[in-house]
This record gives sequence, structure tokens and C-alpha cells, in this order.
Amino acid sequence: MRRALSIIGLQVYALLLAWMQALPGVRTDEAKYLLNIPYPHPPLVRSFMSLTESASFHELLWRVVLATFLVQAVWIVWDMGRDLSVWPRRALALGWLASAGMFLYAGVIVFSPLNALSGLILLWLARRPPQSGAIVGLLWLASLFTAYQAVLFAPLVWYVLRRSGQTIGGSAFILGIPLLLLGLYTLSNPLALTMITALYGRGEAAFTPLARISNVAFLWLLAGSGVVSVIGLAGLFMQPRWDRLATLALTGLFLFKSLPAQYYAILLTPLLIDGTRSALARWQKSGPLITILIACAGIVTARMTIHPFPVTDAHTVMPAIEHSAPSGDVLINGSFGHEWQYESRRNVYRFTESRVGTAAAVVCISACPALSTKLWQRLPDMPVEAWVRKG
Amino acid sequence: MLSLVLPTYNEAKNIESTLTEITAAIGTLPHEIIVADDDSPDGTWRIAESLRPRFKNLKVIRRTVNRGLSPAVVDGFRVASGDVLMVMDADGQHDPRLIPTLYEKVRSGKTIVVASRYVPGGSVGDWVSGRRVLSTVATSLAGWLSAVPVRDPLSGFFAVDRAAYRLIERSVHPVGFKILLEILAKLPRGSTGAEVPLHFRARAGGESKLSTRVQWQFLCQVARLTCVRVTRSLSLSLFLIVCALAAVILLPRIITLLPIYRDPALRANVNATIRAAAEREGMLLSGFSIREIASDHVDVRYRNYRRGDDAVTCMRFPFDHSITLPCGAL
Repeated sequence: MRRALSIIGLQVYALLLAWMQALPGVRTDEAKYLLNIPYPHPPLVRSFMSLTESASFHELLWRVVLATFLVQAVWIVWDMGRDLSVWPRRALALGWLASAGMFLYAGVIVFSPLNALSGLILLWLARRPPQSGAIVGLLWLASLFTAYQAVLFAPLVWYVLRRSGQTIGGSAFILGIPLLLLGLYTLSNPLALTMITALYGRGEAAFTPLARISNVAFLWLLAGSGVVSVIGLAGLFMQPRWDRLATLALTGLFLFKSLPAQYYAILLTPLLIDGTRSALARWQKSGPLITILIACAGIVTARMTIHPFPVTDAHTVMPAIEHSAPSGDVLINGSFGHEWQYESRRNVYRFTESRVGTAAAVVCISACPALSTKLWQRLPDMPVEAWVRKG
Repeated sequence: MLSLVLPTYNEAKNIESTLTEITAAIGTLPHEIIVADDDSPDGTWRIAESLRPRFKNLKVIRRTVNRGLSPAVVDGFRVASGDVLMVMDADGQHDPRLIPTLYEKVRSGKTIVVASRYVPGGSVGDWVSGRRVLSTVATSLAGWLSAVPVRDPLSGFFAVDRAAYRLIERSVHPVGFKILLEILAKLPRGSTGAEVPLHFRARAGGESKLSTRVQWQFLCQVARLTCVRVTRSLSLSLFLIVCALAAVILLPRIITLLPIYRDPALRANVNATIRAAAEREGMLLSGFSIREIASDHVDVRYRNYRRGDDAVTCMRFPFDHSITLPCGAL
């Protein structure tokens, strides 16, 4: 009964987080995955998402699903702490639920939370190795084909395979074949590779090494809401295990080299949780104090990180166009993200003179050439200039 | 050496007599006895501690977290130093005179030896018919999960080779009462077993712990182990099939694209042509996928991503940046 109530309570929390993320509308990265646009990440999860594309509840459905996975994963954390006494175990579970990664990214339709979840599962399996390495192989294949960042957890995968009784050759096979397939997938999608390279190339010069180090430190603090960040890191070094430290190093290097994006913080959270578990095993008597500290840090972090998100322009403009314009395409002048494609059920093109004659609507994020008021009327009260063809 | 684990909960009335009987049965066998008590309200652990001067090879663990029979056994095994690990009940229902027999059979090469109620010479004693039926049904449910054929996979009295146990220790999931079933399901291939008849005696004192909750835990355990067994046997095949399918799907795509990987000039040409066409037609680069590459043109598929059905067009872009043609145009 108590467990059932806990599951319900956690689900309410997940729904709240999903609802919070739904308020501003779909962001450009989220639109990419919801529409199954084939970059930058491999196709596994986004293919599933696109199956429900036509449904009016499409976005909310996947926000709830992702938030549920992340929040209910606390049961994995709870099991990781089964050798701890009650208060340290509660502290560990609270550390997961109250991390800034949870507040910020449970319910966001990006894949770093799913990578974090697979990292958590691997850390759990390291303590309870499965009897079949092939199960680990399937999990590894699924996480690689969800998002490239899964590569960061390769040392954990190797460790779990060896603990599950696989020989060195068998472990190399199970670890290597999915990596090879990921390479083949990348080769089969050259435009994606070009766009990723261009994106990172643009960002490379913009950030000094000091700025990058600051960013990594900031993400580390976010990942554990401060308290778990410190305790978790200490715990990882108190009981040093090569696979955890190697994964930590790889993740740190990835965060250093990447463009600063807060959603990467959650990649550190599973490692910090595992480190916290190691630390709490030694500091069991401090369980109540640490639980209180984690709760306070969670409240502070929530207040700092949860802001009313501004509603995206696309979320306002596209429904108005849908309501007002005759059937036809939408042209957009200026730089725009994929959320404009998601918020519309019409074809979206860049503005070109050749398409104006047949378009139903024009959105001017940058200034448009003048449109004839005989043929076009401007929509009032829009955050950006938007014109629809007169019916 | 034998390490005998006695998981206890509210056995204050039985513990001394049980230890006396066990010690007499063990005789001169090198041994240790580990009482793993779940912090019994009746102070079983305290009484066991007080008996340590009398029973020199006695260890006592007072467990305050993760309570339950299976976790108690696992904790007892964790601190054991013998090469044969044994478990029996502390309520007098298991005959300690079987201890040397179980021990010797493991020492002679068996991975696991079970004191069984369901082999010739064994019995369930004075159980009421309801409990007999329950036990028979449960034993049938559990029987096929065992890696080693035994007729009583739910017995609480058994001995296992320590080295074999260590191999599976981390995969054992200690929940509920049936730790033997968990161990039998997880033993590696090649393990051997034996059974000796057990006459299940009446409880010496105290109360049975076979509650509805315990029965529910057993059903969950059987369901979980069934999933594990099915998954284990299917997982390697599934992994290989999925990898093969992925390769079959991806390789034709890569073969189509090989020309641009081999020839940098062609690659630059294709890149420039697609970008120019995208600029000209107002299309988004993310919508393009390459269908075919020739020396003077590239065929692409353009998908206009939107909610619902996407509009897909096949186009031919000549490298001389002349007009866009449909795919297949001469």
C-alpha cells in the first residue's frame, strides 16, 4: 500500500514537471525529435515518437512518458541503496528526485535524460550483473541508437559485461558491434554529419578554455544540486572504480568540448548518485543531516532554475495562421528553428520570391519585402510580423 | 569447513535447544554457526549473543535493515568463511542429523545438496491438507526454473559449494523466503545436485511466518525468475538478429553513398549543388536525403517535415545548377 502511494505521488510529480515544460510550447530541439528529423541523433526513439505525430496530444504524451521514466527511475536508485539504512537510502532517492537535472529536464523532449537513464541502469547492473551479457548488449545498442552521448558510458558497459561473466572476447564483441553499427549509421547520413560538424565548428572559437571550465563546473553543480554534486564526487574517489572514473573523465571531456547546453548536466547525475551511495555507505549515521541538506539544496535549486518560460513565437503565430489562412504553404523569412514546422500542419519553406505567389502565409522574422495589401493582410497582436493571404 | 547459517526471527524460545541439537549432530566437523537475526522483538539476537561463551564457533548478526529470510541468508553467506555454505531453520522443523550428510555430498563434488521433503523417505510431516496443496502447487510452479533438477526447490535446508555461490552471488535477488529457488535458478551451467530425504518436523515453538504477503512475494519471485530464464535464452539470439537487421538496412545506404566518400571533389560538388538548390527553392537542408549519385547529377528525396503525413518529393539536381528535374528525367 505504501509503495502504491509512493508510485502515485511520484507520478503526480512527473505530471507536474511535464506540464511545466509544456507551457512555453515545443522548442526547436524538441521539434526535431518529435518530427523524426534525421539529425543529429540516431533514429530509435524519435521513430517511436513520430508514430503518434498526428495526435493532438502528441507533445504532451511524450513529455509525460519521458518525465515518468526519469521520475520513476528513483526505484532503481532505491534498489542501489538497499544495503544502506533508512535515512541514507532516503537521502539517495531524494538526491535523484531533487537534482536540478530533474527539475530542468524531466519532461523535456531531448535525449540526454534518456542517456542518463541508461547510465543509471548500467550503474545498477554493475551491482547486480545480469546473467546474460546479451541483455547488456541490447541495452547498449538501444542507448547508442537513441543518442550519440551514450558512447560516454562505454567503460561502464565493459565493466558490467565482465561482471556478468563474459570473456574478454565476448565483451569486446558485445561492446564493439553496436559501436560499429553506429558508425555505419553515421556514414549513411552524411548531411547530419555535415550539420553537426558545422554547428560545433561555429561554436569552437566562441568559448575560451576558461569559459569552458566554468561551464563544466556549472553543469556539475546543476547535476547534483550542489550537495549531491560534492558528496557524489567525493564518493567516486572514496571507492575508486576504474569504470566510473573513466566514464566521469569522458563525460567531463565531452562537456568541456561541447557547446554549453544545460541539458547535458543530467549526464553527470547517475555517476554522482552512485558516488553518493558509496559515500553514504561510510557516513550512514549522517543520513538524516544529509537528507535535510539535499532537500534544502533542492528547494534552492528549484527556485533558481525554474522560471516562467517565455512562450515561443511559433506557438503563438502558427495556430493563428492555421485559423486565418486558406490552405497552402507557409514561408518564413529569416533564421528559424524546427518548432515552426512542428507548430504547423502545413509545409514550411524559407522565403523565396518564387514561392510567394502560391503561399498561404508569410512570417517575417527578418524584414520581408513589401507584400501587397490587396492580396495580404497582417495578423494583429503577433510577436513577429505575420501575413496571411486574403481568402 | 562448514558455515551453517540460521536465519531467525522471534525464535528466542527455540534458539538454545536448536544450537544444542546442531552442535551434537555436527560433532567434530570443522564448522562455524552464523545466527542472522532480523532484530527480533523477543531478543533472539541477545540470547544468541549470550550463548557465545558456550558455543565457541557461534557468530551473531543483528540485522536492522532489509529484513527478511532471504536477505538474512545472503548476509550470513557474506560473512561466512567456510567452503561449504549451509542453511536451515532455527525452529526445530529441520533435522540437524542430516547436516553431516549434506556436507559430505558437497565436499565430494556436488554443487548443491537439498534436504528434500519430496524424495522417497522424506515427508511434510503433520501439515494440514491446505498447506500440503499449497506446497505441492508452489513446488510445481518453481520446479522448471531450477538449473539443477530437484524435487524440492523450495526447501529451506540445503548446502551449496561456496565457490559456485560466489559466481552467482551478485545476481541473487534476496526477497521473500525462497532463497534456494533463487540460487537454483542462477547456478551456472554444469552444476550438479543431489537430494537427501527430509522428514519435516513439527515446529518446536513460536509462530509460522507463512503469511499472505510471503505467498505473494513467492509468486512475484517465480514470475521474475521466469522472465529471467526466458530472457536469458532468447537474448543472445535477439541481439544477433537485431544487429544483423541493422547492418542489412544500413549497408545499401552506404553503398549508395560510397562515391562521395571516395571522391572529395564529387563530395564538394554534391554539397554545393544541394545547398544551392535548397537556397533557390527555399528548402531546408534537414529535409534532404541522397537517393543516387551520378557523375553529372544527384537525385535527392526532399521530405517536408510537418505534423501528420510529410510531403515527399524526389528531385534531380544537375551539377551545372540548371533547373531542378524530377528523379529519373533524362
